[in-house]
Amino acid sequence: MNLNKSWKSVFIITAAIYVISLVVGILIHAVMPQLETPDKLIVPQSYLQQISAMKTISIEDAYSDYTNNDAVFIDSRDNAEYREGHIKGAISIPYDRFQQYYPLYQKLLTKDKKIITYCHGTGCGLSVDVAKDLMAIGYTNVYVMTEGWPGWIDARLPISVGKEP
Amino acid sequence: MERKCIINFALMRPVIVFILRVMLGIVFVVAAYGKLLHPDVLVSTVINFNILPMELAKIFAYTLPWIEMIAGIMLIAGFGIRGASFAIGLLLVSFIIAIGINMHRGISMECGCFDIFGMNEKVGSEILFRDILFLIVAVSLVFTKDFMLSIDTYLERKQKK
Repeated sequence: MNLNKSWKSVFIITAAIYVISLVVGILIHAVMPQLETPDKLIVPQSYLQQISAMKTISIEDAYSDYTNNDAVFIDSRDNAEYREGHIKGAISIPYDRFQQYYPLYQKLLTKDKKIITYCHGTGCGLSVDVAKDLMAIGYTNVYVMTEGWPGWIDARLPISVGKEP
Repeated sequence: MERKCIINFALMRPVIVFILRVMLGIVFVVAAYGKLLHPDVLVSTVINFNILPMELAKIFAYTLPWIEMIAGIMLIAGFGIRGASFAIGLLLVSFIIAIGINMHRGISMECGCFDIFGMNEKVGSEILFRDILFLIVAVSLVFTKDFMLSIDTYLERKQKK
């Protein structure tokens, strides 16, 4: 009986903490308009710092390069995700396997060529990682397409499924 | 000799429980403070975890830091310790599931755990391991009866008198 009673108080306290937090959280959000979250995602500060040091490109500009065949697209996501779907013609260099995958496409990636990296979209740093790796070995014409794969899909632009670019 | 060791451990136990309790409390208050400073970042972090639908993710993000803050302060003050530990335990279970799912997806993303230090932690096995350790501490506290230097114990003694 006593034990049951003590467990009951544990659950009551837990529930009280959750309910109070929910109410406080929602109230504070409601009364402080500066905390209002816009429709567009606000990305972590650390990501903004990373991305501010990079050249970025919008979906529209990237697509214009795509149609003119002016750029090589690099998918920096996991290889399995690449196989599930990627920008048509994009090559796969997963962010954590740069050393392994870069040599495969070295011929394609001439230093004068424009290179566009992408991953899961705003807030995703994988494309920044790959862009940095490329810049470290002398590439200068490297751009990060910040809106990434989700942006490309939303714009209903050409994609390809499978392991071939 | 062996017996002496056991006795010593028994004496040490409340002290160890006290240290773990206060440490867990401080960890969560600090984590909550960082999140409260940047609510917008927290919202996008939760959305980027890609588990909850947009609206639920927002509500979770508004609520999360307050749960951490209230439960953390309760642990430090020693008030409703077992309930606060249970609340933290539930949070940790949700973190572990969310991290596990994203590790399985092979996605590298911001953890958003301790924003206050500008720590750029990526979700991964280290963070999973850390959360499991915290969970073990929280669960042990839920199953502990006596707490040294706590409001709980003070109230209990007063009630008995």
